[in-house]
Amino acid sequence: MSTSLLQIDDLKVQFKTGEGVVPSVNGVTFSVNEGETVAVVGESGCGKSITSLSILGLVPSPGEISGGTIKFGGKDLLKIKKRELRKLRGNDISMIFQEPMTSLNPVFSIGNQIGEVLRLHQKLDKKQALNKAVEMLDLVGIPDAEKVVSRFPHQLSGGMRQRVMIAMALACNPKLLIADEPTTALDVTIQAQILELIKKLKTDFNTGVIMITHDLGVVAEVADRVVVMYAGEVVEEAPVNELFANPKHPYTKGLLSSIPNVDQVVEELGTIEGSVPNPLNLPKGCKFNPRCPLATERCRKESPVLEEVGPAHQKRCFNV
Amino acid sequence: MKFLIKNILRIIPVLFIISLIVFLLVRVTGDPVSLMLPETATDAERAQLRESLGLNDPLYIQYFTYLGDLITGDFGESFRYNQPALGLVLERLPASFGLAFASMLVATLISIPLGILSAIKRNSFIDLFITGGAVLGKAMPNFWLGIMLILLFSVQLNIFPVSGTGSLMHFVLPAITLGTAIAAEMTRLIRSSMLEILGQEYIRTARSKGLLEAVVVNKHGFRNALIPVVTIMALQTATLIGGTLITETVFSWPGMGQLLIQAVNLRDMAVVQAATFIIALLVIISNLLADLAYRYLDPRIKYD
Amino acid sequence: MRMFSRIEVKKELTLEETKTDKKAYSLKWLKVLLNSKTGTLGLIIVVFMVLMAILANVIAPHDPAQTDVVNRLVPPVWAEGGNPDYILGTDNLGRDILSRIIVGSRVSLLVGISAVFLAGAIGLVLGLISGYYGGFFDRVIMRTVDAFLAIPNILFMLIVLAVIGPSLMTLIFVLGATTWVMYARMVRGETLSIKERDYVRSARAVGAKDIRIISRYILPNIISSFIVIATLNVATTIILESSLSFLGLGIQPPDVSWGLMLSDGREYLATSWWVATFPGVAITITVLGIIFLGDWLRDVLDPKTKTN
Repeated sequence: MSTSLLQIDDLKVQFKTGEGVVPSVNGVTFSVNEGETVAVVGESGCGKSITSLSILGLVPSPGEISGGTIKFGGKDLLKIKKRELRKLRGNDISMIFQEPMTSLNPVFSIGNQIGEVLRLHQKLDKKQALNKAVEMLDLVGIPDAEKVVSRFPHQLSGGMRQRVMIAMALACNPKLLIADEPTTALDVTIQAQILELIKKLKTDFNTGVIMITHDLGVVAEVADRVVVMYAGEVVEEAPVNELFANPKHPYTKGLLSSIPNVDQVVEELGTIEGSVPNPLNLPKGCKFNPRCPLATERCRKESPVLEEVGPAHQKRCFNV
Repeated sequence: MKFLIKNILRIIPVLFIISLIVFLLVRVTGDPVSLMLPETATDAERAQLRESLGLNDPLYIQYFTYLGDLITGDFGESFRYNQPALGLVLERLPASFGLAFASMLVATLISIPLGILSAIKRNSFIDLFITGGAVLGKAMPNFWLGIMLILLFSVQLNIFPVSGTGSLMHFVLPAITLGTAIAAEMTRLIRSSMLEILGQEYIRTARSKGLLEAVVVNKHGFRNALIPVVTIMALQTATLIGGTLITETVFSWPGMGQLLIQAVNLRDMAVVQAATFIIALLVIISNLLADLAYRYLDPRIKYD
Repeated sequence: MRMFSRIEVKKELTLEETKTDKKAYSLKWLKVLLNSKTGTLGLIIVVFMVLMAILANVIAPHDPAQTDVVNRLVPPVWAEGGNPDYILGTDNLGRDILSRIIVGSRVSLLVGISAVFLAGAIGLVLGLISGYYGGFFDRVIMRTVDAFLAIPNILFMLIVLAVIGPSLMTLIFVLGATTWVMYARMVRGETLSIKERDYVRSARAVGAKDIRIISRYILPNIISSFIVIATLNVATTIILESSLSFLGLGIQPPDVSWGLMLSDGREYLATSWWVATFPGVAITITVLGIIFLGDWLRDVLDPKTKTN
């Protein structure tokens, strides 16, 4: 069960802009096992989406990967040829995006868009691809799949479109599914259904899942393991129950305390002081120190490293 | 279907206004009698013609008579050719169509690859070169470009004939002249449309599927970028026809434009009016066709 | 069971951005000018052309109408047989091409600018009526716009010129009366959207007069787009003027116009390339300068319509 599927090591991504080189991802390391869901959590701009796009080589320009390795099936995705990477995309590794409304091409039918991956990677002909597309739509719980294949994206609701995206992503039975905030743009009830679906498909196909999110509710629902990112770095990593029960890093604690809990009356919701640092002007020492309640002189001078605090539990902090 | 009918119905008031404008221009601003008779005509001859043309009737009666003639396709006779004006114009139409078609072909062949290329190589040297060329193409008067092409390819290099029609070679210079002007506008449009589309999220989705970059750009990108391009180009039909008029004059191309400009110089108003209506009708029809194409290209527009 | 709802991770509002908006705007002017090489180039060309037109009589080396039978079709000075007296050569009547180009700039700019003023005025008034009052006027004006759009500009001009007969004033009138359509459409569209904004609605609710609403709220909002379109249209109009003069329906001799020079030059293409070449170069450079200037103005005044 716990064979490592994807291993990201010391990944660095930077954006070259007019105002200078902006580091977006700064030495991220984590791994995903077969059939495991790893949630990557953090505020917007912490580099979690860029990390996920790096896996498929889709970092938007002017961003570029400046270091590290991403091993998948024994190969470093950053070193293999473009052609080989394309063979993996949509086939072994596929991706679902945040905005179902704009992630499907408006001028092609649903059947065409799902069929496209099948024709490309599985060499199916047009008719076989269409049949398989119907099958996939059925699988993701779309009623009237035979009719939906000939519809266009604008004729479907947001939830339906996200199901189509999932059907498309799973069409070639990938080993790894990357879901970048797949439920953020959806209604709460639809969110739950989509998460249920991803969970079920993961178990059925033993797919590894990377779930990018800023929503700890989603994390609690689907994740096996959690990676917390801040300012382009991993600040804490732990199995999901451990993280919720026993958070170590002050940033993680802040995130957890800002969740309203229905079961108890809270006097005041915890918030994290300050805001995400400007990546052009990152603080010295620990990147979190300006917002950290525990910050000491040392935090302002030295950068902490990721260290073990328990079984499979790591944190990047001097003080806990 | 309902859409078609609705649009055809909308054409009627437009044609009505065009007839009014042409009527006012020709009948009110100028004196048709002095246009039709030689300067040596006597006053009696003039008065007789006025009477026979109904020019002594009140203006609105004149207009309705005129309108009635138009509806029956009677634009009057060309005094130069002594033939019905409409027939003369229609006779010249195929030559003009041929030139317009060849020019559109040239324009499409130039602008699609260049527009796409400059969008995907945005801000590169190639992009600068292409956009610079497009601006230059817009800044050059079309007839001058034609003259310069004649100078280079006919006078100096002696490759293509200077003017006239008859062979495929005759098509080359006029089609390039007019095609370049259209291509300048189209390249710019395709570039900016592609730039917008390539930033869309479904392009990222297409890449994440493992498609070849060429498929991503040409299928997923271009198909979407085409939608605004078709709409704007349709609005340029009038400009295209205007360009045909001048290009025909430069190359002595025996089309409608040449006939028209000749007629204007001779004040052969029957021909001028007939040509004006035919051209207006062509522009309106092409806009209608573009609307249909738009609906076909963009499934988000509902057929009603 | 869902225990957690979404965390709202808010980015702190960048207050400075809104505060410095006004200041940034005026600074942007300068920055865009310095950044835009083409804008600067456009400005230089336009200023140069305007100076040339104003000082034409002073700087032209010869009288543009002065014929010189001995020196007919003299090639430009750098070509074989060139005469240093006639830098760009002479035409079929021995007139100095450089002087004719310098003097010809007057017609181009005069016609271009006056026609744009006329067209702009017609378009502005009709567009405002159409957009602001709507209803019957709107329908009539918009169908008229459709009618004008269905007839190529050049054809329209040909008809009028055929009837009235060509002269400088007719030319300006015709160019103005046929190109107002674009302004009318733009002004109508903008007026329609501005009219529905809350501050205009509340101004109307408290009983402000139409004329006040138009001058206080609507005009200031459309002026930038208007200036940009007008500038770019000067370029189009100059090309149209030269086309008409080329066809013999614009400027008439002995007046000098670039289009007219081109049409003369066309006859002598086989022997004297320079006669038709230089006037075309002059038109192209002028139009290019105006386009560059217009694009630059668009970036500064009207960023929302920026092409990319």
